[in-house]
Amino acid sequence: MGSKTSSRGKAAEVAAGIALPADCRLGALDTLAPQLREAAGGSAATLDGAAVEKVDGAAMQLLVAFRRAAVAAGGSVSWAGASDVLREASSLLGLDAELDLPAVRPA
Amino acid sequence: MANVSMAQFHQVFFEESLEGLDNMETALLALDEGGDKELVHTIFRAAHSIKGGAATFGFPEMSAFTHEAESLLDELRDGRRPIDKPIIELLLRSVDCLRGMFARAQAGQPLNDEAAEVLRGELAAAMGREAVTEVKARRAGDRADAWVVRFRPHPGMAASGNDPLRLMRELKALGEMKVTADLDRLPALDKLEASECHIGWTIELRGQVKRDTIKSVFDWVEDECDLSIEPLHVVAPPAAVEAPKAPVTDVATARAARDGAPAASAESSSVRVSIDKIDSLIDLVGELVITQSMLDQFRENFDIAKLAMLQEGLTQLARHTRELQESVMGIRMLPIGSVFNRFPRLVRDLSAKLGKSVRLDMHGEHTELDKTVLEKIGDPLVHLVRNAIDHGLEMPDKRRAAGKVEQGTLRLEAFHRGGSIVVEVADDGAGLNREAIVAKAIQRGLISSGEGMSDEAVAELIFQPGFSTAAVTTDLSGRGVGMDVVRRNVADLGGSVTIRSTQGKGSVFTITLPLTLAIIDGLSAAVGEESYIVPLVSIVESVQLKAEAIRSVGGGGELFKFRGEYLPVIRLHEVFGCAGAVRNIEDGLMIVVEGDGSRVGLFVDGLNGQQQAVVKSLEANYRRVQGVSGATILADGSVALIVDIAGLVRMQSRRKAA
Repeated sequence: MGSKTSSRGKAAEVAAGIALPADCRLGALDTLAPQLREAAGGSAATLDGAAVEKVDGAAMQLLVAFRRAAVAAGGSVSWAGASDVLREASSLLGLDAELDLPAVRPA
Repeated sequence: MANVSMAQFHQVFFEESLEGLDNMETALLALDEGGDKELVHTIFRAAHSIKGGAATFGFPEMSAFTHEAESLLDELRDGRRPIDKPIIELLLRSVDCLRGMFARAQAGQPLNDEAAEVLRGELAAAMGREAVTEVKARRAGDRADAWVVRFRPHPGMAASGNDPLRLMRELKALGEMKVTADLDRLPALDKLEASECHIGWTIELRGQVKRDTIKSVFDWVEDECDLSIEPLHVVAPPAAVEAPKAPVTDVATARAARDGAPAASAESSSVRVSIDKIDSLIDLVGELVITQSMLDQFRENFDIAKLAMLQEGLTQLARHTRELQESVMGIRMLPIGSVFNRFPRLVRDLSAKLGKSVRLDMHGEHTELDKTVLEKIGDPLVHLVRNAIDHGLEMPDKRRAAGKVEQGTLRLEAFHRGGSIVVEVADDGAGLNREAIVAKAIQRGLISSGEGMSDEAVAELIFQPGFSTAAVTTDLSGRGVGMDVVRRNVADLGGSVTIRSTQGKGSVFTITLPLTLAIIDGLSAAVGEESYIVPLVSIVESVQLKAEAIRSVGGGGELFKFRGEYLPVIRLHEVFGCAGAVRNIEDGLMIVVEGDGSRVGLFVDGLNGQQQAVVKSLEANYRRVQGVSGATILADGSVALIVDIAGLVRMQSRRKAA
């Protein structure tokens, strides 16, 4: 629900698509968290992290919690894209296995 | 995962190492007494095992400390250094220090403390490495080519502007990094407060980095996280390191937060049993199986001609069951030597502190006691030994003046007597000072005068709460908590303490303990419809009384005359509210029992006979009942309560006081 226009504008093709903002840090989470909570109840959710330019530990933690909640509710989470910044953060925080980001940014 | 599997061996490692430390201590004390030089090998081996174990099980501080002690021992072993008093003293202190480390490891606390650091410096200094020792000792843990950093931000860390991601980036700049996130404490999405940190990290960092460099990354968040930095592999420090003057900073404060750190409560107790005991158990079970199959054949075809065989089989069954019972009980039995072992050191340290010369004479270390009893007898014994050295034995000049040898003797002895274990603590000191005790007792308001009191009665006074006659209160004894606590602790184990003292010749404290707490010998007594077990050790005699032997006293109490003294009567059916019991004195039986230092008569309907009772805890299965120490199952399957004589006596005296 409430999918925003992503930089690649393809969010409409899935039931619940969420595009992560360019500045995906603590300050943005007040907006992002309610969206994720709602999406976690759905059967399939797609996250788009292609636009992320800045990210922090708090945001990464939120993404982990979201993914766990969605899977626990019987749903699935897929990635429409992930920026290098996002992938670096995932690796630095040891969350690769947990977040399962796409290895290469899709074309 | 690796952490978890290691943690399960920790307890065994602790137990074995503590035993090793005990051996080290015993051998050191023997060396101190001029023992065989071969003992150094024993000590070295013990230290070596502890060092190896500590390194394997992830206690680098302990391993590093033991390494210093081991190096010193190595020099002693090769004869490069003479074995003298200061060295032995130093090694004894190292043993104490290691015990402290084990205690902290078991509690999941940081291992090193200031004292350990200082002692490690002293050990190195003893090996002539004065100039670099302190540095070396400190640097040894400060340089490594790989580190394990455990970092768990407190929930509020991110809110104060510190991003864990930034810290990770800085760490990454120091070397090759492998990060594992610990998500165990991450709340569910709907409970998660986005600004709070709930993830912890374990980071393996490879590279020639100093501990301080790693630590500086976390400088800004020091107070907002749990952090430990430990070397993965210790590398030898370069020969000439400059001594930094900075005080030791203990970074490893976050042990408790570590995965798999042994929790303080996870302590479990175990018994190590010799293989002989287990083999004899297996033999007995084998015998039992044979007897059972022999008896089994009577089930199919029994005629009266086989009666004799059946009886023989039953006799065998009874014998094997009894032997099996004894063997199983034997598993819980451990030699009292494990308690005695602590005394050579205690006596040595105490006598040195007080300026007295004491020879410790120990006998019967192999006498076996129930593990539970053994664990609880240590403290009372320590108290008695301390008292004997502090109050009992005189200063050398006094002893000389009294015509005795200057060196006092303290005798510690354990032996069997009847169905009990007796432990004696005897000294050849001044004995109890009758006048001082009487004066103190009058001052405390315990008695009004000592006239006409027997020596035994005077000696009994020292067991009164709050009684202490030491002229000077030392930190060793004389704090007023004393003999009453000893007596109570021993009484809790079902034992008793008595004292025999001769002025000028010394005192003997005798502790009598039951062999086991699991089985008691008792007399089964009928009261109304019920049976009660009276412990045999408490029974003095049982008598049938005439009605006129009973005197009623004010307040509803009754007394009867027994061997010249009047004893109070406790009617069990009144205490426990039994219906249909005998009320007429002439129809029942009076069991004279002794408990808590006084005698009373228990009035019951009659006796059913003697029997062994396997004690079942009433507290664990129901709740504590006054006057009852436990329960047992009788042959017919019914339950009988075991009478707590001391408890009954106390109830009686309370009633009297009321």
